[in-house]
Order: sequence, then structure tokens, then C-alpha cells
Amino acid sequence: MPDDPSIPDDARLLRRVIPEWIVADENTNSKRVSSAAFCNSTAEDGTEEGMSVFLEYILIDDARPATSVLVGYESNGLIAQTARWVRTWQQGVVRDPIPEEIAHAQVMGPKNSNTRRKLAKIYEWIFIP
Amino acid sequence: MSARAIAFPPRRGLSDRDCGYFVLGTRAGDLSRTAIAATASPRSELIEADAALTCSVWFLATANAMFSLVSLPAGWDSRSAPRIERSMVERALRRLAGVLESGTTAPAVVPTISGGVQAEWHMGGLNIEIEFCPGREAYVSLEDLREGTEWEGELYPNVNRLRAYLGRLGEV
Repeated sequence: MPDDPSIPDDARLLRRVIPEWIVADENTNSKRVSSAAFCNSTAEDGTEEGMSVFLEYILIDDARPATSVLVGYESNGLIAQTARWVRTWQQGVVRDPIPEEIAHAQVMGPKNSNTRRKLAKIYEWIFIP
Repeated sequence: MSARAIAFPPRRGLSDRDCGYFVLGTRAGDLSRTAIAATASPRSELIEADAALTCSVWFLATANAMFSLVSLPAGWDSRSAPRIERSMVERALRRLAGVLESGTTAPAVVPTISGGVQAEWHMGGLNIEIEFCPGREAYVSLEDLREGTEWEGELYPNVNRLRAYLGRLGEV
């Protein structure tokens, strides 16, 4: 699976979370992100891509706050995970700069139900809508 | 406004009298008749379902939540996620009706990127997810936080295993 070793394990990956993926967790009396959010995207031509994320250290180098990736997506939440955590579950991280966001990256690798639930176990809220 | 008939399996052991629910034109205990309930979805769908179902704790809230996802446009994930089809929601509700008890707490409902829906509960020391995807058998995963155990598999062969936990969902 593609993985860019130049992206350090402690790099934080930011992921936008649409409101529909945020649910109540009565076990912890908090909001949680559904495992459904930890999935690969599909390109317009139908090919599967990785899970869309943003590399926080590139934003920091650019003197931008993490929440800058929410511009235009103000109703979304924002979470952070480390590259180490996603690699634990046989995922790779690759840079994927796009015209609107140079910090864009993808978490590559198959994400079946089990993997999605594992990925969803550890994250940090950056912004809760 | 349109009425959509959902052929749910008859529920045994319940009566419309027990549910405190009156359905015009039916007799007490007649569960083969259907009731029509309006959802609060944007298109104000009418759901025609078994009378016992419409007065269960989970059904209308879940139907509302699922039908509201049908109005999401294609690309709702800001990428290329397909729309969630009504037939997908109806299939999910039908499968849940065959699994959940009348008093089961309503789940949270989220869309999946494959055009499906996922019902999930995070309460009672349990994390339960049931995923309904187009073209695939429903898939259940359960994590028991008290016992430190978890399991997963296709829903159909695990229905009884799942039911053993449903009573815990209402526990604090």
C-alpha cells in the first residue's frame, strides 16, 4: 500500500467531518464520530481514492490555523489523528496537494467495517460543530 | 405527499391494545392491518407499516432519520458519494423490523459513502453498529465495554446473538 515515509509518525492528520457523521455517545456523555466517517472516497470517474485528510504541519508552516480547512465547510467538525495511529491499521499516508489546498493528503488502504471501527477509536476533536 | 407501503413481517405477541394505538378499520389484536404515519422528512413521506411497528419505540424516529438522508444530494461528502436511495432505506427498515424489539431504543442513523445507511447505538456500555449497504447483506458489529469483548459478522446469522444485548441499551 502506498505510504510516504517522509511523513513522520507524529504528523497530525486533520479530517473534516460532516454533521451527519456526528452522533451522541451516552457511554461517555459526549459526541463521537461514527465509524462511517473513516472511509475512502470515490473519484468522479468511479475509482476509489483514499480517505481525504490535511497535514497539519504544512498548515503550520504556512502560518494557518487547523480550522482554516473548514472555510466553506463551516457546518463540519474537524478531528485530528496521528499518522502513527492510521499506520497501525495497515494504512498509508501520501501527499495529495490539490489546487484549493496544498496540505491535502490521503490515507490509503482498504477500510472494511473492522478497520473503520478501529480507526474511529482514537482521535482528537479540533472543532465540534 | 406519497404513501409508501413497506411490507414488514407481522409481529407476534403484541396487540394494538397493548400499544395503546388505534387504527381505523381494524379490530383489537388484528396485526395484519397496516397503519399510516407521516414522517418529518423534507418531503413529508407517509409510511405505511404494520400497526405494531408504528407504535414501537424505535420505528418512527428511525424512519424519520433514514428518510431525511434520502434528501442528501449526490456528492454529499464533498466528494462523489452517491445519493441514498429510498429502496435502500426501506430495506434497512425492513431488516431492523425483523431484529429489534418493540421497546428497543431508537438508534442514531448515519449515511455511508457507498450510498447506504448505518444504525448505531452507543449506550448501556455497548457500541453497536448495523451497516446496510447496496448489494450486500447487512453487517453488524458489537463492542461490549463492560466485558471488554467485541464481535462482528453478517446480520442474518447473528440475529439471536445481537438480540441478547438489546435489552441493555436502555440501561444507564
